[in-house]
Amino acid sequence: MGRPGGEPAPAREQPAGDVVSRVLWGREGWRPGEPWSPEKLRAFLAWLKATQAPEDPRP
Amino acid sequence: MTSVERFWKAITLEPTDRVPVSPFIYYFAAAQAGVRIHDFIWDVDRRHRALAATYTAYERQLDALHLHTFRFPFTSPFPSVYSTLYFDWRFARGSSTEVPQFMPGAEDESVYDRVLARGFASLIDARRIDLGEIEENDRAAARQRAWLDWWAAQDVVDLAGPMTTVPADILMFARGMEGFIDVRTRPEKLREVNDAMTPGFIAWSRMAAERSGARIQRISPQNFSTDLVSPKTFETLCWPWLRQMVLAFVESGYTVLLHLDGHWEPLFEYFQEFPRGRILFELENCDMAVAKRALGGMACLKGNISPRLLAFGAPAEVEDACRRLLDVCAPGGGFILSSGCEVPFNANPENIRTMVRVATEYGAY
Repeated sequence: MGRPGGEPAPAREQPAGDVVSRVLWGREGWRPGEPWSPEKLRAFLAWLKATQAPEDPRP
Repeated sequence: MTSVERFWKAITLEPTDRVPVSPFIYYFAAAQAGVRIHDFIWDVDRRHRALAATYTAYERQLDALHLHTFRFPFTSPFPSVYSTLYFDWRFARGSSTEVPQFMPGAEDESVYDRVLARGFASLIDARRIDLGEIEENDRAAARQRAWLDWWAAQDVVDLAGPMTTVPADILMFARGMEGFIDVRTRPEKLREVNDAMTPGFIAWSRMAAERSGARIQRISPQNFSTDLVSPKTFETLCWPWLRQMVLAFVESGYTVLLHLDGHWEPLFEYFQEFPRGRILFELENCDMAVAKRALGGMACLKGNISPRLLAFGAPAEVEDACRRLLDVCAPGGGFILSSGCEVPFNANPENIRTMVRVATEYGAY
């Protein structure tokens, strides 16, 4: 069933994606409807690398 | 009988023409082929060419091999002991022979609450994120798929599959030796993590297997052997979630490979409730006569010629050990002749040849 105005309903959440999301982000970071996806995770890693990672000093 | 038929009939405890043989070959293949360890880990083609050379050297008699390429577990975004995002693995890039070294974590006791609140991603060390290698995985995955097709055409079973464990097991590695006391001082935290995270671990492994086409789910709860904890600790901190994982994977149609390093004999009775013909026990140090008595009627056993013997023993000693093992484990089927965990890097190739010969000759039914 579409939303008012003919906008399609959001896709049903993948329960598997949700529980995987909970492993990665915990109860505070996990949001139903924001399940894990490879693209999101890659974007997260790029963000983490850019914002929190000084260069590894090891040779 | 083909290798594929032989292997899967052994798993389901049906008659086979001979005992399957599958020494657990990782870095040994690199040593035999003269491939640098770094290339063996990161270059899919060099890894498989080295393994193919080893397979050919043993006259294509190896029925099953671990066919994954290590770059994938080492770059896994999902929590794993093998992921460099979560754990400090040291790669000797300048060395041609040195295998990666695992550095145990040194998290404090707050790690359980942090993971419960903000997830395992809060443990990722951003300095170790190699975006170039993660991007490269897309191309590498295509090569890996092509090689798996090639191996299937050679009639070799792929023993690789998603490798997981109970969630608390990973945090025990993150805590390191200093934190092992948690099993006595804060067991409720380990149980809380297992309760919250096990469904996600199961879901991830299912998704990973669907992507790769794996038929096997691997579980290795490494901190819960009886070398390290009591059966009571296993029962209260590992067993309920290990059982949940195994039964979920079986229900989804997978064969579950339990890779059990160390000693597990006192825990075999727990495993007897698993469905018959759906589990492969890959055993390292266990007494195989005890394993055969306890589990032989319900599951396939794989093991367990000593790596020390394969490296330093004479072929006659290896032959004697293989024959004694076959005398104990081969009757009635459900046995795969293998090494106890990994064939060491420095194994004598003649000892592997001896293992294969004993399986094909003495192991005939």
